[in-house]
Amino acid sequence: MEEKLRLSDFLLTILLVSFSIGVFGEAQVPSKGVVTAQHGLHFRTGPGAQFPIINTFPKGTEVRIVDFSGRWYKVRIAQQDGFCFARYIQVTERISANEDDASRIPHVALGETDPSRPALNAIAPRIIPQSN
Amino acid sequence: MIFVASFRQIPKKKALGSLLFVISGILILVLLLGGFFFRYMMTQYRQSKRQETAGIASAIAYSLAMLGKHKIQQDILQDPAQPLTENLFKPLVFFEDQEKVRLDLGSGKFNLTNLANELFTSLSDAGDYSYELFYSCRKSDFSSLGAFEYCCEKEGLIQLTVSVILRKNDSAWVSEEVTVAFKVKVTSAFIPLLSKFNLYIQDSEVSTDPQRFNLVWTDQFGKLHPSSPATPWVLYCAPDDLPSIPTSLDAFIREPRGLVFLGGGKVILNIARGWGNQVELSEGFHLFFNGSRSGLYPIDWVGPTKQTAIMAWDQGICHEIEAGGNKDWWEFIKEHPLVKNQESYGRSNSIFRLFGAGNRKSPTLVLGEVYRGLISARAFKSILRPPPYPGDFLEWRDTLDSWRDYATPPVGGNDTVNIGAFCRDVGLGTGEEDLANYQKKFASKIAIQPFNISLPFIQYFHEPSPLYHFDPEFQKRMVGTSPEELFFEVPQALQIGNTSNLNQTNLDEIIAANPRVPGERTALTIDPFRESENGANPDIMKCLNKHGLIAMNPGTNEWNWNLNGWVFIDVPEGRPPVNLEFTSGIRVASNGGLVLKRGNIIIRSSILSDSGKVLQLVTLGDGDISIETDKEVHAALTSVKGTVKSKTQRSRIRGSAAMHRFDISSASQGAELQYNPLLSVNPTFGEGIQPTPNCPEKPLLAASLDESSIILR
Repeated sequence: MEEKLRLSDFLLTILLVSFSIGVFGEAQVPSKGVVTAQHGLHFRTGPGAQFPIINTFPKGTEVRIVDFSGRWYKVRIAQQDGFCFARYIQVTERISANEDDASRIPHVALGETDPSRPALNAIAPRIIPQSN
Repeated sequence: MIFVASFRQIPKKKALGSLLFVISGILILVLLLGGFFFRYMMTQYRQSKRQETAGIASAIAYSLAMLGKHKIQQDILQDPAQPLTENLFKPLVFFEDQEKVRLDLGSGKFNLTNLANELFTSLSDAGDYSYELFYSCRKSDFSSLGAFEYCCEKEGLIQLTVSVILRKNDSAWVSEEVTVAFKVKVTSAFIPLLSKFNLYIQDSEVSTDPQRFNLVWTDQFGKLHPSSPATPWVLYCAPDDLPSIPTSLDAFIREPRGLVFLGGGKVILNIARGWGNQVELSEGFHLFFNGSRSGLYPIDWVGPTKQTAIMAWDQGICHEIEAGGNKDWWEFIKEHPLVKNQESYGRSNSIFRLFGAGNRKSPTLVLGEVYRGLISARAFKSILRPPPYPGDFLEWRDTLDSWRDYATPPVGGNDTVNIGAFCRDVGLGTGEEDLANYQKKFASKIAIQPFNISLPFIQYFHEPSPLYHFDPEFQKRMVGTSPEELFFEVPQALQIGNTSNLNQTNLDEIIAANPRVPGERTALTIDPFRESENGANPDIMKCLNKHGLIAMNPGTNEWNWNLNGWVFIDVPEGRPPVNLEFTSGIRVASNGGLVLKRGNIIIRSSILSDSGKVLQLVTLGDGDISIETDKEVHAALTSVKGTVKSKTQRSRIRGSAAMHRFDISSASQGAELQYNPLLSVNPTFGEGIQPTPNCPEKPLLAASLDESSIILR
């Protein structure tokens, strides 16, 4: 039984690694997250501090991320949709997205981008000259 | 009296005998004279008959020579495999004397045997006959016609010898031989220098507005907005099967790519947002990772230990600012002065897709003071773990108040933007100098970059520093450390032969030096006023038809164009301009060009070249070339002082377009301009390079026999 479990774990690992390799380079978008703000995070009706607050979620609240708008996640909790500031949600799950999604949600793509990729040790970057 | 006395003294019999003797003598004498006379008359008769036969034979011989000329023009010179044609199409240094070759009027596509036989029947009253034709040429009769770099162009003489043997009514055979020489001109259907360009606009008329050409509204995917004021001209400058972009300038120019020149000042062409297969007008492939997925690439490292990456993400421009995925991008640059003062500069993209569009890339070299416009979003992100501050995008801030609010916002809840930690890390305060520094080094912006920067990004679209894959000199010319170093002028490699001393950016001068029509390259000059039946309202098509250069195919109702060289339509000064209108389809059967001195060329039908032959259409004066059909136009179009315009429908040009100015109304319908790579003729030799028998202009060559002949004997 133990051996079977080990075998299944191994196969699962292989599958996950293969999947990771397969999606490497594709945009990954958050799908689930958890609130990290010490004093709770506002849940608003729109993507901006000017929108009314519906509720405030305590730290550790799990939310489902359904969409993105600039620096804001559209989240769903208890069948209710609203917007939370993305910086205070730690992403716990991601799904791969198509290229259009990455371009549509630059803030999310920035969060997912490791600045060391493309390789830092490659040729030094150069700023392209600009015209006024 | 003495006689009578003598008579009386001679006996009668004797006298009678003498008389008879005398009479006989006289008779014999008369007969002899008659005989001689008869014989003389017969000789005269025979001689006149022979002369008549000889005259007939001679006339037939000249007529046969004319038939032979047509046979050579229509059959032999159309077949590159024929020894004569092969010889004529070689560079002059490889030209060889050609001994007499028998010309068979009955072989090939045009069987002229029946016509020849009819000549004999009508002129000789059906006697016995035979004939033979021979053609030949000598190198010493030829001289070079073109610039020495294009060494296949030449003119000279082709000799045609006709032997006729004729016999009428069983009389003696009469033999007659005549030799006629025809002038022949070998020219190619391209314009040195200019034909290297797919699109050439001498004056973009941008002195008051470098953004003049940014009129197209597309969405974030590159789909045309229904209310877009303009539709782009999409250029395909290279064959689809051409491999990757050359990384050196010389290799680039020698490839069969149509170059682009936009003169007249600084031109900014906004790149359209979008990528992929689905949307035909997107141009995302100009950018790192097509501007898609995570298009962020580091451009600098800042902070005390260089732990924070400043990253750029270049994105094309679309019309939306609220809908779809463009809202954030608009937010990054909406305060940028270019956009703040004229919102359309950040929302409209170019009427030219110079490197193709959608999934069909066709990069080329763009000459002139041409820049690309795009959104260059900037962001920062630390590589430390855990990061000292979260990464974020850096919006353009235009005023000091706006900058202060952005850099040090009022203390709020946990959901307000604050880049203060980053500013402290890189030493940015809230003063004017800080703002200027921020704008220069960090802020997102509408980036105006040399257009050719797209080349390395297309080739190495996944490399953050693609320029470094290119030859250093080429790299330098693409980015330039000063404007003078950029591709504002035609590179030296193209400044050849007659073009070496020209102002390369002046179409008038290029055309004056090339194609030398009117001039030494002209095969035929037509004055439509002189040649038309209706002199007041001349018809150029009828004139061309009369010269046998075009012929209507009644089966297809198409004109078969067989110019075989350059034809000049000389509309005299003082007469009104004459338009050339194509209302029936055209099939291009041979290489050639038509230069219209004064008037417009209006194309309302297809111009097709299934055989790969090239047709050049040129208007001098201020004549325009107007395409008023959506059918394919296989031709290279040049309007020296006017414009080549797409009118009423979206044009599809397979060739090239060169014009003095661009009529902005042409962007109402848009156009597709696909370069004909045959036009990209490179010189066969320059300094240190020797010609080869197969000169590059060979596919464009045509040989044209002069209408008049020189009788040698």
